[in-house]
Amino acid sequence: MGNFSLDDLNYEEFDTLVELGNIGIGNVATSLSTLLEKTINVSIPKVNTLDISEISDVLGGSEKRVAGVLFGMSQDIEGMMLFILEEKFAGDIVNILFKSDSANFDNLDEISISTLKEVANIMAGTYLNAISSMTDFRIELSVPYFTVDMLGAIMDIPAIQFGEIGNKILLVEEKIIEGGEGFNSYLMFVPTLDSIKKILDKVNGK
Amino acid sequence: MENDNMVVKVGIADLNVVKSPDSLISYALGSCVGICLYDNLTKIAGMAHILLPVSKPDDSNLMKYADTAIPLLITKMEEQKANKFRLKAKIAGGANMFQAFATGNTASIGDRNVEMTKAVLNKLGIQIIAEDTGGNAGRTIEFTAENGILHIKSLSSKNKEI
Repeated sequence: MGNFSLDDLNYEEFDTLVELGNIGIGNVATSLSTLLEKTINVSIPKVNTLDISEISDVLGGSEKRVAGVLFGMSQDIEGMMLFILEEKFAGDIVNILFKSDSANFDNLDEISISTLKEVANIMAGTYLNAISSMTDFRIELSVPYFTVDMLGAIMDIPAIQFGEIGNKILLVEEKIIEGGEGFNSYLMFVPTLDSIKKILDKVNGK
Repeated sequence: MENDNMVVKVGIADLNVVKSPDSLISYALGSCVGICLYDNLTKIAGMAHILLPVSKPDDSNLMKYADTAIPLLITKMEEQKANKFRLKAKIAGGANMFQAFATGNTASIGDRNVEMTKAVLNKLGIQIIAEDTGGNAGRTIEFTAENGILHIKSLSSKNKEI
């Protein structure tokens, strides 16, 4: 296991990760649609390996102001899950749930932040349940951590996890689109390298 | 455009050296630290953008770590005829982006990056004349070789110059 690196991933293994992402995100879209009573579309997951130096340029602009909700993953699978909610989408979630029209990034109060954390918690839980039932791995989520800041600065967190073991980062990235309006949010499943290997071995029956 | 001063980007785990009137920029430092060195006589400026404090023997990417990036940056500046004994440092970054998030290696990494940066500079005898470190907010930093001023932009507070 010690010698496994991201450069060793073959086409079939990328496919496996895409498929897992597909199942996870499909469930998330359903639960989010139910919660918001709105049509939610999701993209086909993108599995990317990037150089660490490029990480702040993904998702369109390192200085863009976004909300980030971060979870730690533990037990059989370790790593983190990170949600990036674009400004408009975060405000919309709060407004829909509170039947208001005034929430935006400049006036997020404690209740709005708790709400966004809870929505992210439901999404992360749904995603991981799908992965769990496919792999039989037990995955525990930490409490959610929340911030509003520059996208690139938030992306330092997954960069650290991968930076400790190499110079590439793997992102399973999914786009969630609200009502076809194109206000995006991204969900990133970021297992550690050892956990990626574990998932692939399990799913591919090794 | 050819008369314009160049702004040279420094990515994560990257470093660069410019001469006046050019400048260096690092976007959205979170827990990373931007280390800026300046020789005010030759007006040569260097910037390193480190991700982690301490290097690993099996990793050849010296620009990623505080303990290896700083000596490498000095060497690159000396190649441009900067004098090591004139170098002064300004540092920024090392934020804790998610308060209380502490899983594995990400725990207090910002603080550890800043501590290691200071220890390495101290050991090399380079004085830190200004810093803007810690806190919970990301920073974009631009370092101007013309005058050694470090401009700091953050979403939650006013722009600063140090």
